[in-house]
Amino acid sequence: MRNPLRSEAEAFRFLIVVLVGAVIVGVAGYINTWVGVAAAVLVIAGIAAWLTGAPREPDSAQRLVSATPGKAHRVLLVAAAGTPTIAGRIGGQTTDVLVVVPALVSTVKSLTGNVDDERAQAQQTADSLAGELSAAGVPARGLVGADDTILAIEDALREYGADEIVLATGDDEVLAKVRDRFAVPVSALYNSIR
Amino acid sequence: MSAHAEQLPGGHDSHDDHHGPPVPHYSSRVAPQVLGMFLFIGTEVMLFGSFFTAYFFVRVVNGTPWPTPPFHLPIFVAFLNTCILVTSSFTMHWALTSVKRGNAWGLRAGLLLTFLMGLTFLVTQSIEYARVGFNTSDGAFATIFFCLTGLHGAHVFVGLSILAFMTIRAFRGHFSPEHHHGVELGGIYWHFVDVMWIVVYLTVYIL
Repeated sequence: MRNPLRSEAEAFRFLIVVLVGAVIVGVAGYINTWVGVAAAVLVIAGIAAWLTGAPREPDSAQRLVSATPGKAHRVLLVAAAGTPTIAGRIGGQTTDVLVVVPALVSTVKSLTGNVDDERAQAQQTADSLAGELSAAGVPARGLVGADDTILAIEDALREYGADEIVLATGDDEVLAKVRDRFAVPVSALYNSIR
Repeated sequence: MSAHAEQLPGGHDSHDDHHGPPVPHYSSRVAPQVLGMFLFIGTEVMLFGSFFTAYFFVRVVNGTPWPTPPFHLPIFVAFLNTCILVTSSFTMHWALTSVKRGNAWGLRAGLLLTFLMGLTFLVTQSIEYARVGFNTSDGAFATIFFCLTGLHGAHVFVGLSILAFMTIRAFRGHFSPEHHHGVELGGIYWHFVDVMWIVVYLTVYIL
């Protein structure tokens, strides 16, 4: 989708498109008011199609990579809210774990800010999993992530260098996206969430 | 998370020597500046939308003749004004293209021309108000006419204020090919004002 507010150049391009549409509406309106109204409806639909129908720009962002100090093996564990346990599923060489639980909500809830329940559940899961890992001798802490799994991982990797991403979301589509997006080894846990 | 921050390849700086309050955390989906602009445009759309809704009710639901006899709208003068405002967007774009290429003269000339054309638009509209032959008290048609065009005129005034500061800064050499964010944001606002005028002109004067 095009964003006419992204830059002045985009705004200017949008203005040109609106100008062309205005000329069409103006000519039609000069003929007859209702013809002009019909033309306006068509032009608005055309501009909306132009805005939404633009080919998706290739993601110019480089794949996010991560690095940690030597001999460390940090794991970014991404779990779905409600994941009951991951006991014994994190490798013995792990020196540190950050548990991120994305607070997934519907679009309507996100727009209206009605996310408290989901965030609370995500926080509870994150604390529970982090406590479980800490009890097993692996330093861990839990955080609530963004309302999108990929974004939650992006946010976490910007501040937490991880050697491995472990997904416990049970979503193969997300797994494929994560493997495509991040230059960090990715593995998945399935049984722990079922 | 800052306790674990470290040097990340790909341009991520170390935060180990960071002092002061922590960096605000936000999701990478929408940057704060962009979100701010979205919210601003959202409020603008709602503001203009309320006036267009009034226009719709007066003209379509209530069936008020537009313009109400015996009044006439100065379509030709408004058309000239439209041409002036649209042209000012081109000079605005020229100014920004110039600063990106390091052409300070083009930036200054572009901004100055944009400002002058915006001022011409506003002065012409004021003269049009004085000579149009009706006032806000002359029925719903006149009220809506002055509200819609006046609201847009207020936006042009704000845009002119922004342009004035941009022009002064340009003449003082504040902008460079690397640093011209002020011109970029001012340009977006000016094009937005231009687009809104095209919509106002079509609905009020043409249709």
